[in-house]
Amino acid sequence: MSTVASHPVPRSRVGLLGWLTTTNHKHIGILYMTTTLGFFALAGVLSLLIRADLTAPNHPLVSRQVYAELFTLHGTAMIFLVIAPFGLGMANYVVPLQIGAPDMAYPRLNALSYWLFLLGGLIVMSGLLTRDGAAGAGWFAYAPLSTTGSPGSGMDLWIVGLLMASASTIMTAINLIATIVLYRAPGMIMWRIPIFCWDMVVTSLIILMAFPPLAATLALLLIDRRLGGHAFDPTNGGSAVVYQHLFWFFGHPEVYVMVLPYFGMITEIIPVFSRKPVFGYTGFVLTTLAIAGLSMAVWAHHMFTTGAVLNPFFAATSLLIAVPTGVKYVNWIGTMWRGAITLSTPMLFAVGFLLNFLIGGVTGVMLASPPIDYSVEDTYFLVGHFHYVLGGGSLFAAIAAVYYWFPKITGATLRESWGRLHFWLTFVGFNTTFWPMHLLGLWGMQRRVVTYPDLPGWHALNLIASVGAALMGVGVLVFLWNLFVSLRHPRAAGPDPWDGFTLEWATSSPPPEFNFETIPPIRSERPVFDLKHPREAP
Amino acid sequence: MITTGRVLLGSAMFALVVGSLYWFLSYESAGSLMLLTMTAGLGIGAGYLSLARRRAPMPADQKDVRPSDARGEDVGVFASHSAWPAVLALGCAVGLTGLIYGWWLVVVGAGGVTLALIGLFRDDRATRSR
Repeated sequence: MSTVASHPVPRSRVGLLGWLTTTNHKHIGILYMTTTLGFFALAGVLSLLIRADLTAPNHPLVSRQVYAELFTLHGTAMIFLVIAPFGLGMANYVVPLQIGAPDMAYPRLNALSYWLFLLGGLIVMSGLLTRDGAAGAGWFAYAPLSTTGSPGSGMDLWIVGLLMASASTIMTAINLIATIVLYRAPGMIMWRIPIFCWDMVVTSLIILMAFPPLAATLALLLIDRRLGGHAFDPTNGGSAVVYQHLFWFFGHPEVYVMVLPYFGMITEIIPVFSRKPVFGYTGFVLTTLAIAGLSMAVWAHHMFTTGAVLNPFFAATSLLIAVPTGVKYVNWIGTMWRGAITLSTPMLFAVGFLLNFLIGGVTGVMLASPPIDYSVEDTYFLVGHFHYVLGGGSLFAAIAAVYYWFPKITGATLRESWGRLHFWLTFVGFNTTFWPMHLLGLWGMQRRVVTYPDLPGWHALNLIASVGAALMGVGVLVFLWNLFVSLRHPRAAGPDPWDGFTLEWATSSPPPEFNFETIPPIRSERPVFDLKHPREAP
Repeated sequence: MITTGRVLLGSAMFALVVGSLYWFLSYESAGSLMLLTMTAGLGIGAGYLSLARRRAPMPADQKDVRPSDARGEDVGVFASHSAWPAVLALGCAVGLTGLIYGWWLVVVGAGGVTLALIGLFRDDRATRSR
């Protein structure tokens, strides 16, 4: 092993001032992840209120306006403030370690990204404190509901907050691409970087293509509301359909911004707990690129029922995207095939991801067909589908990643027994909550309604869904308890508790300020495995 | 850089094909324009990388280079602390909420942004001279 370089910089400050002024990628990663945990708790409380409201028919607990605010802020928080930024936060921590870099390419820009994200998120949520209430136009805020239909300042705060969050995301994407392209360790050619890093390169490219249209749309919305613009006002030469085009040109790629990092995390975990290299590394990378490309050409499948888009084109591209995604399942199953599988907590959540995401994927293929989409548009079928993709998929992968990298981040392992309980509560709770929603949707129950009639079966299925949500809530409490116990009474993890493959396991836990004293030679995408098993190394 | 350049070039070609196809099938201007803008953005990136790779290749792009071969090589200066990013974000937040609550807040926010930008430039100069 050999020394790479030394860096003429001062040692870390500690305490609150240290956290407020840090530009170190590991600290910023931790700040991102703890902040998303805070927003997740808030969004979780909002979802429990939604489920409490829907438990019994004809008996709303809140007004229509408050209900609209609940589902708007729940969706906004989960999409913009939890799932997407958690992936970026984990990338902030892990990517420089995995490629042997001392930090992100632009540390101050990295800090700016985090602070913009935090303040943007707080501004969005501060709508709850205003006299007229928070934004209530749904997470995609269609005009004219978001323009003339929402006169309160909560909607303006939503727009301003998301403008800041989107600027933050664009900056992080630039930083990640620059870091991975320019700061890889000597010998780590692009075809040797870990799959998670590839997924972050591709995710960052999607962000750079998709988020500027979002920022432009939000700016136009604010101009329409505050400065007398008419971009989305059909009565004055504007177009509400153009709003939908602009929004979904961001909105569908955003789904992959929320999914691809988690594909990457899972692809780090499955090989380690199967004791095998990734099956089909090159194929995995190429299918990620294919998904990214196609994700930019499917936006208007969200607009099938407007009658204003070319349905066959978007149906074809949306169906096509299932092919590279299916290939990934071949990669994952091929990796596990005849492997020495250990079902530790990270692997349990990874397997949970595979099962749940498959259901979300299959219902996605169904929705890509316009006749089916026309039948179930704006019903609970849709709610079930996207929760299986983003909750059962991304969120399960996020939890798997926390259990996997927690020892690296803190130097302590999370308790396995609490982890297993957390998994089963979450897995059972999740499927109990969201599986019935498919049936409710097929039976015609609309989404975004504060209450519903007592039609046959509707009450029972809604009650089951609410019980499932409560189970998941208990799971979150178990997870928080596990974090508390493991940090309060730490069990030392050592530098490589999982017998890992990639470079982050070659340094101490937690790593020093600039990550590595020495870096091993890099001959494959598994440099640490090669170091430990020189006979099997290429 | 070669691989990254190829990824960008391939993505630009894909966007061009899809954008052209979409235009001739739909004559819908918003989506077509966004796909063609995407082509241009990715094309610019690919073009830049093709120019950059004419310089000496990086050790990271060479298969047989060991980290020990790059011992002592300057990999850059990394700032470890700065308060200005937080000040800049705060200035942006105050300035943007001024669009909702009053123009005086925009002025306060702009002041914060200006102060933070000056601080960042000074910070950067100090780090580089260390």
